[in-house]
Amino acid sequence: MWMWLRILLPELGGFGSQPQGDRNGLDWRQVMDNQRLAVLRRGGIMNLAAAPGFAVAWVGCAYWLYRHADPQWLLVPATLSLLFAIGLFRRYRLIVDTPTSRLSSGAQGYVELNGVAALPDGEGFRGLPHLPVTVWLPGYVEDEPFVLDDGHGRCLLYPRQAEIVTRPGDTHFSWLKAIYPGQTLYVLGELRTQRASGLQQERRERIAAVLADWKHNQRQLLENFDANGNGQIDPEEWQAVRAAAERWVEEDIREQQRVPGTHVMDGARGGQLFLITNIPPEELARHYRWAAFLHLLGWLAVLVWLHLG
Amino acid sequence: MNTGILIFISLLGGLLLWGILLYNQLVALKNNTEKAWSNTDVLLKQRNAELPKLVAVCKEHMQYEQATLQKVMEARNKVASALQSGNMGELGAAEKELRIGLGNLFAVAEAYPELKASDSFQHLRERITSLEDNIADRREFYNDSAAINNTRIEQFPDVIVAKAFSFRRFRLMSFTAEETRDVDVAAHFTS
Repeated sequence: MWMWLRILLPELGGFGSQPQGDRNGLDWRQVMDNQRLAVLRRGGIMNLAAAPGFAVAWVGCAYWLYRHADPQWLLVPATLSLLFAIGLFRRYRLIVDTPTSRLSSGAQGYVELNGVAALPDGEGFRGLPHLPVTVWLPGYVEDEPFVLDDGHGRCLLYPRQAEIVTRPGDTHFSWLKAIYPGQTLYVLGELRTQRASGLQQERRERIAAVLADWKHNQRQLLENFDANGNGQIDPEEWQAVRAAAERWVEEDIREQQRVPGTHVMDGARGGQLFLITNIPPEELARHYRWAAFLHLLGWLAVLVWLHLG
Repeated sequence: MNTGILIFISLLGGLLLWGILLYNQLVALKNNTEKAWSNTDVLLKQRNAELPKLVAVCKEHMQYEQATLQKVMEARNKVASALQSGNMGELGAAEKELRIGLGNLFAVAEAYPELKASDSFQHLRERITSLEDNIADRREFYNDSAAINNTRIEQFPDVIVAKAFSFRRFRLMSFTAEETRDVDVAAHFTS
C-alpha cells in the first residue's frame, strides 16, 4: 500500500525521472529525499490534499476501511474530506478576492503581489553547488529573505512562516522544486512598509537635540553666530542659531522623505494565509476550486451511500 | 450510534462550518476594504499637510497670482472637510477641483524663474507629485477592494449571510471623465 501511495503522491516518495550518478559530487538521491520532505512540510496538509494523486489514494484508503471495518468508520475520511473542502475553498476565495497592491505605492494590509523573484542586493549565489542559482530551495535554503520586484518597486519576502507551493522550473533539472531568480511569483500576505519613523512629529525634539548638541561646542557656536564679537550669544543671535537648527532639521527630513520605505512581507495576521508560489494564480485558484469540489463530492457521496445502505 | 443520526450530525456540521466560512470571508473583505480606504486617507492627509507649505513658498514669489493660490487652498479645505465627513461624492468633486488648481499653479509657476529655482519649491513639487501618483494607485486598490466586497455580498449564497448580518456596500471613489478618457496622442503633436 505504501508503494502505491508513493506512486500516487510523489511528494511522499520518488518514482519520477530521477537523475542518476554523482559525477558532480552531489548525492542526488539525498537531495531529492531532502526536497520531498521539505516540499511536504512547507506546502502543508491542504496542498497535499489538493495533489492530483490524493483523490485516488483517498478513495483507496476509504475502500480499505470499508473492507476491514464497520461502514460507519467511513464517516472519518468523509469528515476529513469536508474539512479539506472548506480549507481549499477558502484558499480559492482568498486568491480570487484579494486585490493586487502595486509596490510603487505599496498599499498596506492583506494584499496580493505579482512580480519577479530576485536575490537581495549584494548576493550573487544561493543554493547548492552544481545546481542553478536559486532564491529558495526546499530542504536547503528555506528561511533566507529574497526580493520580489513587480516592475514598480521591490518587496523583501521573509519566507519563514510562508506556505510555499512550487513546481519545477523551466530548466533541465525537471525534478528540482525551487524558486529561481527571474521566475514570476504570486504572493498573498500582509504587506507593511518600514520607514524612518515619525518625521514630522519628531521635528521639535530633533531641533532641541541639535541645539543641545551645538551648545556643547561653545567655541564653534561663537565662531559661527557671535555677530558682534562680544564673546557670548545674545538673544538676537540665539534667534539666528535657532533658525539655523530648524533649517538643518528641515533639510534632514527632506532627505529622509526622498528615501523610499522598504516594503516587507513576513507573515499574515489573524491566521490568514501567507502564500508564495511560482504557479500562476488563475491556475492555482482553479486547482483549489476543483480539489474543494471533489472533496465535497466525496463527503456527500459517503453520506448518501451510508443513508441508502 | 444510529447511522441516520451520524449522517444528520455530519450534514448539520457541514452546513454550520460552511456558514462560518462565508461569514469570516465577508468580515475579512469588509476589513480589507476599510484598510484600503485608510491607505488612501493617510496619503490624502499627507498631501493636504504639504499644500499650505507650497502655497507659502509660492506667495513669496507670486504676488500677482493670489487668485490661483486661493483656489488651491479652498479646494484643499473642501477635501479636508469631505475626508472628515466621509462623503465620497464630495471628496471626488473636491479632489478634481484641487487637481485642476494644482495644475494651474504649477503652470503659472513656470513664469517665475526664481520660484522654479527655489529648493523648497522643487522639493514640495516633487513630494506632492509623488503623493498624487501614490494616491491614484491606492484609489485604484480601494476601488478593487470595494468592488470585490460589493460583488460578494450580492452573490448567492453569500447574500444570505450578508443580509442576516447587515454587511454593507462600499461606495467607489469616482474617477473624473478627464482621467478615464482615451489619450488623444494627435493633440500632443499638433499643440
